[in-house]
Order: sequence, then structure tokens, then C-alpha cells
Amino acid sequence: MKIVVTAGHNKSLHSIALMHTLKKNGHEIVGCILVKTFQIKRLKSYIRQYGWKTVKAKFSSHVLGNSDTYLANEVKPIKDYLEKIELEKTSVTQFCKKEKIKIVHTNSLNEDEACQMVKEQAADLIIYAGGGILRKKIIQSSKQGVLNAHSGWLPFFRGMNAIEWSLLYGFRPHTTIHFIDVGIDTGSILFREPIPYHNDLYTLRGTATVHNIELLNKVLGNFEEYKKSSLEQTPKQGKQFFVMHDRLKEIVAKKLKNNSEDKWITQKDKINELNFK
Amino acid sequence: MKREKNLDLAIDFLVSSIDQKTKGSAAFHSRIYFPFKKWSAPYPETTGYIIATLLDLAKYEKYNHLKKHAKEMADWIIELQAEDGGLPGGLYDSNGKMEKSIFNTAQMIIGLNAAYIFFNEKKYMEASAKAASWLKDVQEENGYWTKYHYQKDFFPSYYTRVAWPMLEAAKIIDDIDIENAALKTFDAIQSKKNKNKFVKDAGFKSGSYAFLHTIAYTIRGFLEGALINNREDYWITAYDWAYKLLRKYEIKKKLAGAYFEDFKEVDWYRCLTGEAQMVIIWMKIFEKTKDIRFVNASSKLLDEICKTQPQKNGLLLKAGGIKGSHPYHGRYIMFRQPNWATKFFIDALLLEEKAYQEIVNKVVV
Repeated sequence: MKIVVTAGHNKSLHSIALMHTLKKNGHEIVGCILVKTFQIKRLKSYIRQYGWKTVKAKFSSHVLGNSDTYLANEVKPIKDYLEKIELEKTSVTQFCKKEKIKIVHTNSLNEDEACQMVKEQAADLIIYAGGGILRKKIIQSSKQGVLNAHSGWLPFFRGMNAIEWSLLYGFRPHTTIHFIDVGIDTGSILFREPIPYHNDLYTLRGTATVHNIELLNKVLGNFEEYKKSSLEQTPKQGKQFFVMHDRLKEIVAKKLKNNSEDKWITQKDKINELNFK
Repeated sequence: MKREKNLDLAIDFLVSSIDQKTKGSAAFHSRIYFPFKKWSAPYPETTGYIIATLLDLAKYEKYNHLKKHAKEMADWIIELQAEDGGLPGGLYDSNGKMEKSIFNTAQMIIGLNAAYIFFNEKKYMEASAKAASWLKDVQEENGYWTKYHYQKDFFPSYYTRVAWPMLEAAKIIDDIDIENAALKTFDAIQSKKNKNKFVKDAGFKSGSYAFLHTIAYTIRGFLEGALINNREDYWITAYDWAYKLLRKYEIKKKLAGAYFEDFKEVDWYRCLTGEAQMVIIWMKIFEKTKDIRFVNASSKLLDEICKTQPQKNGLLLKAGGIKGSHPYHGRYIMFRQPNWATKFFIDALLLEEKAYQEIVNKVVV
């Protein structure tokens, strides 16, 4: 299958690992859309969403690779994964150059040159690995659409910080592989699986990134079958969650530390029993 | 308590606002309006609902002494009551030149009801009943009021905040006529609901923008009406509008100071008063639904309000008092720190604390 992968920034280990593993599993990576890291508008939007403290820590750990921030545990699992698959740490640009993958640098995933590249490369599928919200034009630019790995049980936990929101409601976080449509995490569902457990919140978030890569590879290994049995969602089935406030995150982190793996609800039918009317 | 310093400063501000002669709370602090005396005259309307806040605080041992102020305020309001039950609008005038007012009477009922529940003294219930009865008597057939209110040809939707205290009083005194009168007002206002969830005429003027303050008044009225009378339709009106504003806030990380009926924003300033009121509404929705998204947005908005609270007395601002608008020259209560902004801020802080206790103890597995 001819695949285009997105990247949220040039040091995205997630995108690099994803392209590498897909390639190794026999897929053809025909392009990469890399959203420019340093943009005032983008930075402002991040600060508005996450707050300055988080943006600073994310930049330090995710882009600069520093291990002295409170988010360092979030990056460790993907670094370990790269080591495991014997892939050296590099930048998206260098990886694409080495692997002869066409790359476009854009201000947004929705720019014309991004759509044009997908069409020129006759891509079957785009895989989302960060870079912001996708609009109709880019969603419709490939033959099959855009595939995403979301770290929450869909349709219920849509939007931001799905891991934290799942835990707050007592539900074991899952990865959901789904198509992206114009709504927020409302596209049809191909596969869901619990994220490997860890009782540290940031490590769990990092583990989810690796799990996303593994599940995307699994689904693409038998894509037509998963597509055939996919589940449609309706907007009313779930809730859209937003960036979680630090005070709630503290509660989640504490609960996660204190609860053992079997404490969390995993059965999908139990989701209706959550204390959420 | 997480924001104890903010709360203590706000309480000190409210206590400082109390006029020593009347025991009523001054409407606002302003070095621009009153360069020397700093405080306006007492304001019966907001003194009324500040009683409820002080009594909520008095339930905590640390703040129990505040019940004395609340009692004095409630007694002052009884002194101001006219023979027919009406209560005065505007700032207190020691010469007695005060007109009765529909809206202000209802706000004072909130305090009288709270005083009755807290002190269990009949005089507060009787004053509340008399006031609610007066509101019923002067109400028009269609649920509106044309006399004793600000503009003759315009009936604002934030009068849901008249219907709510009436309904509350009706339940306390078990008076079906007052209850029906309140429901008539709710229904009349609800008929002005637009498809986009906005209820028309929520501002001070027809066809213009509405400050977040009066939008929140309108929503709160429906919300309390729904909770008291178990009315699903009022609940939906309140919930849908409140959720729409929550979504806007989460996406933009900012609420506008005022909105037009098509949700077009007047966003060069923030209406801090309305923001604190929105936190109260979101927290009350959480209490009913256990939907923690409402607590989440509330905490973020409270962070932003806290950042604007003066921590020390300055050239213009008094410590602890929430400004009407941010920046200070914003359109809503320009250049003033109204007592009601701080009152709603305190209510919001108390509800936030309660919500977190519930989340930790009950909601989360």
C-alpha cells in the first residue's frame, strides 16, 4: 500500500518509527507531510491550549530530547522502542532523505502543497502522526482516507487527554484505530485494544505512542478485513474531552499510582456503568 | 483549600464593603468614581444575594463569624421593605427616595430565603413571602412586568433570575399562585429561545449585545428553575447554552465580554463577573450530571480570574476585589470593583472545592 505519513515536528520520533516499521512490513512510504515546528501562530495556539509550563517541558523533552523535565518519562518508551528496532535517532528530514521519501514542509497539513503531494504520489492512505487538525480537502486527497491511532476508547473518549479522562472515569485506556473524518474522532472504528499497563501516567502516555505504532502496523497487515468489519460512529455516541486541568491530572496520576491493573474497567459493556450521565 | 488565599482576600474585600451605619454592602469600590471615600453607597439588591454567600461561608468554622454580617444585612433589608412587600432598586438613599424594583426585589428574596433557612427565624420567611407575593401581584398576564422595571418597552430575558427566587420562595411557603406566576415568566422567556441555543433579549437593550453577566443571569435562572421544579425543558435550555459557552471557552481559551444573539463576540475585554457566574453554572451542571468536563473548564477559568485579582492594595484597586471587567476600562462596570463580582467569585471558589472533594471521594473509581 502507498502511504503518506504526517509529522508534527522535525524531531518526531513517533513519525520516524512509524515510517520505519511500516516500510519494514512491506508498505511503500511515498511521502511525508512535515508541519514546520517554529511558527508564531502555532506556538501561540499551543500555549493557549496547554499552558506555557507544559509547552516549555514538551519542547525540551520532545524536540530537544532533554531528560530533565517532568515529561521525560513520556519520551522514554519511544526512545527504547527505537533502540529495540535498531533505528538510530534522527530527524524526520534526515530519515526521509536517507529513505528517499518525498517530504513537504508546510505551515499546516491542510495546505494545497500537502494535498497536491498526496495526489501526485497516488497515495492509498494517509496515516496521521501529528500536525494539527485536518480539513476535508486533505482527508479526501488519498484513495482510502486518513487513518489515526487515538489513545482512548472510541466512540466514548474523544478529543484531548483521552488517557487521563479514561482513567479519571475508571476506564482502562485503549488505543482505537479509526478513520479521520471532519468531526473530532468521529470516523469509523477499525480496531481497539487496551494500552499496555503502567502505573506512571507519563510512562503510560509514552507507552501509548509505541502501542499506536504497533496497532497501526497490525491493522495495515490485514487492512481490507478490518475495514470490512469497521464500526460506524455517530456524534451522539461519545463525548468530546478537552485538555485536562493540572489539578485533575494530579488526581489521575495519584489514582494510577495507587490502583493495580485489575482495578480499571476494561469490558466495553461496562462503559455504560461509568458514573457519567 | 487550594485557593484559600484568593478566597480570604475576596472575603476581606466584601467585609470592607459593609457600610457601618446601614450594615448594607457598598455596590462597588472605585478610586475613579470616588477618589476619597472609595466606596459607593450600599446597594440593597446585591447585599441581598451576598447574604447567601456569607451564610455559605459561615458553614465553615473558619468563616463562621460572617453569619453576624449576614444577619445584619438581612435585617436591613427587612427595614427597607415597603408595606406591599416591594423592595427598593438603586443605591441606598438615606433620604428615603427609593423606587421599588422588580428585579432587585427578587435578588433580595435570595438573601431572605437563605437567612430563613440558616437562622430559622420566621421574620425572614415572612419578608420573603411578602416580596414574592408583591412580584406576583404586579406581574402582567403574559408573565412579564411593565411597571417597576428599567425599560417600559423591553422585557429582558435575565428576568429568569426573578422567576427563580419567586419559585424558591413559593416552595418554602408552599404557595401555588406564586409558583405559577414564576413558571409563567420562565415559559414566556423560554419562548424567546433561538435555534442556536441563545435566548433572545438577554442583555440590557433590545437588539444589542448581552454582557456575559446577564447571559449568565439568564442561564442560572433556568438552571435553578429546572432544579427546583424538575423541569427538563428549562434544564435543556440552560445546559445547551452553558455547554456551548464551555466549548467556545475550551477552543479559544477565552470567553468574550459580551455576545450578540448570533454568538458574535465583543472580545476586547473580559466580563470577570460573568466568568465567575459561568463557573457557578458549570459547577452546578457537574453536581447534577457528574460530567467532570464542567469542573475542568471551571478550574481553568478560575485560574484566569485569580490572575486578575489584586493581591495588594494599589493606587486604583483594592486587594481581593474582582473587577467588573478586565482590562479595568472594559465596558462592563468600567473602572469599578463591584461587590457582586467578588460575591460570585467566592461562590465559584466554594463550588470548585466541593466538586474536587466529590471527584476524589465518589466519582473516580
